[in-house]
Amino acid sequence: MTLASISEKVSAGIPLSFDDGVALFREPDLLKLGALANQVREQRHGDRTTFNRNLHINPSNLCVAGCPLCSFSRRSPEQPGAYTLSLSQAWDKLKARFAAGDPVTEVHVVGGLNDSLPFDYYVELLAGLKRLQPALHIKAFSAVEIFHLHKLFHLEVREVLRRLVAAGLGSLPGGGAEIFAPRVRQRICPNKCNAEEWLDVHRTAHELGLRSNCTMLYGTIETIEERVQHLLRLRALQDETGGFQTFIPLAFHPDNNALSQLPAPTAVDDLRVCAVSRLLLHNIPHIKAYWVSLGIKTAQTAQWFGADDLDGTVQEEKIYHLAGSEAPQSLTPAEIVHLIRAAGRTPVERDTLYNVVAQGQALPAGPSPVRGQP
Amino acid sequence: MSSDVATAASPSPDLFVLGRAAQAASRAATGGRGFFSCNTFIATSLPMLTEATGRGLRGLLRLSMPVDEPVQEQEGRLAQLADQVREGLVLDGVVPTPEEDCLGLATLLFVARCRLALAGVPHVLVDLDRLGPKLGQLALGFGADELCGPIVEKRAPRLGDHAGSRAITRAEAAQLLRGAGLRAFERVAGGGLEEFAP
Repeated sequence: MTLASISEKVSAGIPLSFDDGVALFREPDLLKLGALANQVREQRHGDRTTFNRNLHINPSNLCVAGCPLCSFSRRSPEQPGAYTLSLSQAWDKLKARFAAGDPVTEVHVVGGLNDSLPFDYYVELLAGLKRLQPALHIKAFSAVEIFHLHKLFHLEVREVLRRLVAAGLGSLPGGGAEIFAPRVRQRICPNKCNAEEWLDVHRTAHELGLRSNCTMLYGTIETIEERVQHLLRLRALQDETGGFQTFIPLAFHPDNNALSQLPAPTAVDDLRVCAVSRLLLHNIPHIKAYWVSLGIKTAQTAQWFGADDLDGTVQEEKIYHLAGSEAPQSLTPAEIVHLIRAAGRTPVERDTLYNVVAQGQALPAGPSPVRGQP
Repeated sequence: MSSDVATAASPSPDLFVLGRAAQAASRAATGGRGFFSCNTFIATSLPMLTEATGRGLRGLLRLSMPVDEPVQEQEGRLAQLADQVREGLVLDGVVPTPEEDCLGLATLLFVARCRLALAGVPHVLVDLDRLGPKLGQLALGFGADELCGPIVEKRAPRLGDHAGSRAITRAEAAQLLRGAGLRAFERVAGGGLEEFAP
């Protein structure tokens, strides 16, 4: 399997095989690989890179899963740093953004698997956000959280989703997929739902008409083959439902967790995963370079290695920052626009469902130095 | 491509062409070897460089990279330095150093331009303290061949106060070099080179 033969398949629109994926991960010439991924990216999206204005709310870091990979969670309320937001505290975060003149279009809500909160907390959390801003899109609760609510409250996954949709849920984020291989899952997140359960939550969400994102956490103990298997399972579900909007490669961060002996993935890994994902996941529209995970400089570079989206302004990200991310807590729209333009791409502000919100002159103008970038 | 003006912060339309040319030049100059060094004196001006080499130190010069410097000005500075090297300036390596606000692609392209413009300078170094390990490793694919900065024998686990530390171990430096497709060599006392055992 050579890059040239893979390139021919890509040009002919033939889906790449498992062996192709392995060969791409082993390709020594990162720039050749990047150029091929960039070709696909530009065929699909031209020179546009999208972003949105979003706010992250992490309602609680109390979590019964106790994953070794995690720096965010706490097992009990007595542990230092443990917290659970009251509903009004959570809503206040949204109020504060609007009061500050930052009209976010999306709230991204994810948190720990807290077993002491009633189901109504989740329903009211979403309903209250919607009451405050009816036009807001709420992207909330990873498949792992949805599965936890299903087990905890003895409700079918479909019913959990229905009730949350009724309260305002608009789509699902892609977190919690980690690596599907049981060997890896057993070591890095043994108490999370398994691959089939994760995929089934997304399948059900898609059947209900929700869109969702998907992810892969790379850089722990997985093999190249396990990465490719993971990507192909996502691709297979996408063939079945068409409900995934975006694939987000998530770089493992080793700080402050039980896997801190592992080295962080390198930038070559980051760009390679981004490029291979673009090439393997021909049926998933977007590849996101999540700047919080990659760091600003690598995320900016990733726009030439297959990525066509940079996520959003974020505001108060906790999960990656507790794991050692040196990226700032948030970026302003002007900073993201600058980041995109300085990469020679054309910025487009989108909403959660990738409808265009603003472009060209309607975007914040002028170069804007990006603060505190690693 | 967008219609950005051609500043250093804008990638050239031939990002991959420039990167590959610089990488090829680097590989040809070093034979596919990559280097790392722990305690490196880097001059920040030509008089300081001359004094350092006069005292027997290795001739390394930091090349600053202002935000949004036009490409033409950047290339002009490099051409001037290349002339000085041709006229006898002792220079073993340059350390491209972006200002704090410079972005990733602009930095990589500056590294590539350094390699291509300074054919008479044997090494292009990455200062890990300024670029960080991630961008630093990427620079190895854009013409750099040597890592310097906080490279230590043993580092504390990334916990508590040590979380976010940019220090890397010698083994990790070697891993970064190998991950970029280079054979890893360490500069040891007396100016020698030793291949770092995997």
